[in-house]
Amino acid sequence: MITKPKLKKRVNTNKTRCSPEPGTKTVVDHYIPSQPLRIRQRPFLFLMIASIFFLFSSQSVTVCWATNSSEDKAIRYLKDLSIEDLLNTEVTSVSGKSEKLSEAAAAIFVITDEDIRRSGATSIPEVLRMAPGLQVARINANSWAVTSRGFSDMFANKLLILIDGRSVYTPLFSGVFWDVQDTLLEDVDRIEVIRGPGATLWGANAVNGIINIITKNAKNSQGGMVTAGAGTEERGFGSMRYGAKLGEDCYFKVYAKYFDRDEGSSEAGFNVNDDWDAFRGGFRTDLGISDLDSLTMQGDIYSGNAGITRPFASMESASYLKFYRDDVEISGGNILARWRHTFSESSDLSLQIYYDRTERDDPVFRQDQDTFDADFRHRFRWGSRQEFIWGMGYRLISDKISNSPHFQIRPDSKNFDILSAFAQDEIMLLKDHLWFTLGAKFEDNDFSGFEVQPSGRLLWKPYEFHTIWGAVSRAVRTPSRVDQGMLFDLVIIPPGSLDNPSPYPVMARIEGVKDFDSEEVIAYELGYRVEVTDNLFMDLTTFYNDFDDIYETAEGGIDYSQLPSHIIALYYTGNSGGGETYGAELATTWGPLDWWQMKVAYTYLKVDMDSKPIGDIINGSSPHNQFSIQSIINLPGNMELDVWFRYVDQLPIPRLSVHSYTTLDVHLAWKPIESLELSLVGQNLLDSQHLEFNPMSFPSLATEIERSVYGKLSWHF
Amino acid sequence: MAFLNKRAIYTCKRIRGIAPRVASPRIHRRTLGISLLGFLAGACLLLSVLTDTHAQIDQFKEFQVKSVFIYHLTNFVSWPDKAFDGMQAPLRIGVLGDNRFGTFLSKTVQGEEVKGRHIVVDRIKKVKDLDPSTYHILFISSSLKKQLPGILQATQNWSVLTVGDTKGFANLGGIVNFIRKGKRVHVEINVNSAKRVGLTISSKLLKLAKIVNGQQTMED
Repeated sequence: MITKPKLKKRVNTNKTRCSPEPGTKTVVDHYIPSQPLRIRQRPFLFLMIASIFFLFSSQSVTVCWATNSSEDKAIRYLKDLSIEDLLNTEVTSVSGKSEKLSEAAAAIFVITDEDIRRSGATSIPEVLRMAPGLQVARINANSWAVTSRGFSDMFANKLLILIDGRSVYTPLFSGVFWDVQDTLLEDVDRIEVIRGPGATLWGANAVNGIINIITKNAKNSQGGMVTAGAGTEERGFGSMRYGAKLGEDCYFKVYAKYFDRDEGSSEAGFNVNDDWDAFRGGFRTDLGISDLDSLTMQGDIYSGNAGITRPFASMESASYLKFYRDDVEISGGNILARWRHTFSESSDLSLQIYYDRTERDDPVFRQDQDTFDADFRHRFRWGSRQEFIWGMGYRLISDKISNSPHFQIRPDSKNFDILSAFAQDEIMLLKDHLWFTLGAKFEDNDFSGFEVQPSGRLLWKPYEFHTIWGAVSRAVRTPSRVDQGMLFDLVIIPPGSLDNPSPYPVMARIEGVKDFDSEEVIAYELGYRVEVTDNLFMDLTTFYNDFDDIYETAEGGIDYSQLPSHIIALYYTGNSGGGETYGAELATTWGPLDWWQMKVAYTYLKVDMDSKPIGDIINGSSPHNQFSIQSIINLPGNMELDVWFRYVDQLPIPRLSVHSYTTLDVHLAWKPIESLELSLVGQNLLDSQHLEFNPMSFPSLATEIERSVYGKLSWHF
Repeated sequence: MAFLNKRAIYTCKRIRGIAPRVASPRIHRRTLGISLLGFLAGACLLLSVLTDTHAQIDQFKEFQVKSVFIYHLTNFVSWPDKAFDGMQAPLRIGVLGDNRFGTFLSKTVQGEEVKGRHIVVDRIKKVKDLDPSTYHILFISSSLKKQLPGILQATQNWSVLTVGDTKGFANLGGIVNFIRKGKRVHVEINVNSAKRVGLTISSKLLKLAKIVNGQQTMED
């Protein structure tokens, strides 16, 4: 007789998902959790309220984001215009929304183009490290675990990512393949990081957050730019962009970039192969058809190789592990068109369609996927106190998978679609003081059927520079192809061991089942923002999330058919998990002097899932504390010196052996002439190498991140 | 599936050091990447020669255009001498209410002089702190819409050029008002209000503005 094998080593936490949309979802708010706040959360709640009152008592004044050289450029340019030309200058369309970010009833953090440039970061996930509330951990040289408010994993499935309105969340695994998400970083206008459920506006899978990466209008990327650089980890990189005016209010740009990055390092002395190279090119056209209509067309193509080592359970080897070790060959492209009609400052309409193709040739599977997406939204004012936004979306996904013996996704090809609609109303309850926003998204998908994701938000501005907001939302993470269709040999437990005293090896196999349903959260958020003085801004957010139907494996019986070779212990994907997460996020910007700015971010997070074994892994995969401080200094002689220090707590599960770490990045730049910038960047300077994550869901060898230095030259013409 | 097995055998051998590391397709791709980049570089250079590139136009924010316009007002408006404490007294701009300008306005006027006077920008934190006699230009944010009549009333007895960005600001007695129309910022001017407090506005500016609540007069 055999004791039940325990899942010991690698447990699959793959989550599911469906498809995210720049669109819509929703709900009705009848979900009152049975135990909204448990007693042991009280001290935390108390602290959260106390800190809000403390901050609130420091009344004072105002505004403003810091200053930078692009601002000086704008001043010089505008002052040179005649007053006629000044009044003829076009200003950014639909002024309201982006300027009003600081007045949103949500936890929003915006990373600007200047923030990106001065961080010295060379990839999107590295840039995201400056946002409070996110957990960014590099798994190896080409993959990251990026998540918001917990559930960190290689395929962190509760954070939605959009690049210019195009979803890059994969419905195959639920998560983001970071090795293909890139763009010309110099051409990113801003990254909006919204923590907490964004499902009402953005659709399923925006359970713990949504990140909008928005690139610059072609009009703002005119002229030529060439960059080139190299360093210890950055073996070589280069990019070029050229933007031209094609006609009256018609702008075009084209770009290309290439990089080749070195592999990480392995403490265990493994021969690592996670080096990474990729080529990417694209274009964007922005056309003003009339004063009120604009048309954007853009597209990208990419191709790259990202090395990976995947240790899979196999009876073929004496160690019961088989190493698949090769380059993941990635390629794809997308094309998008967006038409926007502006009726007035408070009313506009947009229609967006895109097509995206992605090909991935992994050592253990091959995926070809085509996505077609159409999204419509309309915003308008309703009376003097209401602003209404509604929209509809449709997405069609078609994929084809080539399976391998140890990892299969069934069926091996599938067409599935998502139809969605949303509506949201923002009502001013007390003029200029109190706003209430109520919205819901309705979505129908092929995996979990009909989903309703509502949210209610309250924004209160008691005084001019103080904003207090609160929200209650429901969001779901819809099942992915893997959740419902994988067949995956997780681990083989050798005979005669503690976990398996039998004389036969036991293979733990996970099978995705059709019953796997959406995971659900009811999220409670409370935030406070204050402009303490002209140069001091603080943003504090606290949250409590109540999760239900979270992924957990269910025992599926023992299969003796393979005897005498081995016994198979079958596990099914299921939704028996649940629990809660809570935390606080603080972001502060302080510009004590004209030439000096500091940014501080602190994140506290506690994840408490109550099931085993997956729940334990979720609890252990996100650090409790994270701290980041950036100092941004403009030196005389057109020089800049920026220093970025970060502390990340250990991962709570000791067997992940990820210890706490501190890092320091330094960015030094010099502009000998206006059109030329030379920069020198040092990254992870405090140690020779460190480990940040150990993926538990899908076998991938983690490597350590090494100290690095690179130099870069950018020339604008 | 066959290709996977083949690859698996190869990779296993490679791990054990049996198989030599063969040149991988990566090399070709890298070469391809570099040559593509080179090609694009050439194309860009060619394009830059063929097209006129000096039109380095940026898109600006509404508040930036307004800031610079406010700076221009210091040149297009004449204040009576008695509005200043002395020949060297600075020209003071006050910003009341929500400060959408950030430090942009102060930076815009930094180092500038109007008829030998420096320009100073002050933030006025609360309406009750406002001393209208101190300022020559007073920007009143739309966040103070409700208190607007009171604020405008308080400025009536001084030579203060009131500037706003609230609908109906000029009709209420404010002097210069910004209005957003489509992608551009338009300006309304209430000439009567300006006259009443002894301000003279250049005809050049009046020509660009929509005249509200009063007929256009050539004052130059």
